[in-house]
Amino acid sequence: MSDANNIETQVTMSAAVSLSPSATAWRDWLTTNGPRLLLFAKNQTRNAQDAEDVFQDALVKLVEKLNNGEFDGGEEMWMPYLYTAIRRLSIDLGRKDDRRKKREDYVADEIEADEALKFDPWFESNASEEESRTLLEAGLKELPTKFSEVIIMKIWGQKTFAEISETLAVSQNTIASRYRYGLEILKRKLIESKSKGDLCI
Amino acid sequence: MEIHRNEIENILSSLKPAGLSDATLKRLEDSMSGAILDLQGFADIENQLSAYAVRPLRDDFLESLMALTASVPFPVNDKVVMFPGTHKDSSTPATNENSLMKRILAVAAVATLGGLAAFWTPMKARNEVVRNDPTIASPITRIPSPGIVTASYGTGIQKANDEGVIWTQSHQPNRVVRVIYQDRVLATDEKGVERMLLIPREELILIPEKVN
Repeated sequence: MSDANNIETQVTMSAAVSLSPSATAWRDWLTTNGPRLLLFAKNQTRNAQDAEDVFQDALVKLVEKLNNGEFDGGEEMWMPYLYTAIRRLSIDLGRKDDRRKKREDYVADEIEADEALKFDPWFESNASEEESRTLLEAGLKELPTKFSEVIIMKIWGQKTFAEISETLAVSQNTIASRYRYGLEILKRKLIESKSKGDLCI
Repeated sequence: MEIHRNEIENILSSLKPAGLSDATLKRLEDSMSGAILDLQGFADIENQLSAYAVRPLRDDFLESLMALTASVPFPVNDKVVMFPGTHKDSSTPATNENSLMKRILAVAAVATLGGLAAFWTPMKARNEVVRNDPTIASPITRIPSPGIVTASYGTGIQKANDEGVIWTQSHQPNRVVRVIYQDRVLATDEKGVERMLLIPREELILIPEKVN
């Protein structure tokens, strides 16, 4: 009987862990892919709060399609869908903000947003290469969005040029050009800082 | 002074477009030859950027995203979905036995019937059976290790043992099945080296036993 009780106790604990396999799977998926999508959203919106908003709105769209059975494709299509949705929502948000700014001329808001962008870290700190990381992160934020979005999708989104081309609706050659151009600018910043002695590497 | 349209047209026609810069010319040549896709010269900076880990989601933001997905079953493949439900804290055991039993039955039905049905025949009621079934998935396993990014994962049933029948406190017999999975995690570290991690995992599943 003690063996049966032990098994029952083990079953209780095991069942508690396994109670919601779907929720566990969702949590793992969001933990793995969420940071990449949020990084892309931050690059598109240039504002941490707006980035969370558009990411959440994009996920709502995906969930609605999944619930209605309207989503075309399996799990492997979620990331391309979300990248595209985040981009479109960011563009829409930008247009709304532009119209509001034209009406109200919120210069102070723009300055505040620029400052917030500088202090919102995109990457985790690593003591050994903090100076380079800070420099490259600042460089990435200064790049025009059309260059930085390709770099972000290629390096941290682990997308191919073909996949990026399809998501951004731009030819592969243009994507490759933007990627190279963006990396050249970042490389130049590193070299300039090293030659000035700003970087201790 | 009035300027006629013809004069403007003549002036404009005399203008020549600026020549292509060296950089633009090189870009066009590289595009035509395919050299634009050659990124060997950027390997160092690519590796440097790849080493930077993206900051994880804030806890409260992650919870708000989890709330959005609470009612959506996570798909395993075209035909199989995981059992949806409100996310539970895995450290909190179920206190209501009836509620627990219902959930266990639901988990057993969705997650195991399709894969285990092939195991059982009357002759093998108490024997050990071994089978790899990569189509049956269970909760995705992720190795939390600094500097390592999970590239892909999968799982398969390695072994299923019939442990016999137990009786619950409400005097109901349940057959206990011990299922051993082997989770496969393909992880990529910051240097781009891929490693396949094989992680055994064990679950005990209760199946109500018919009683005459």
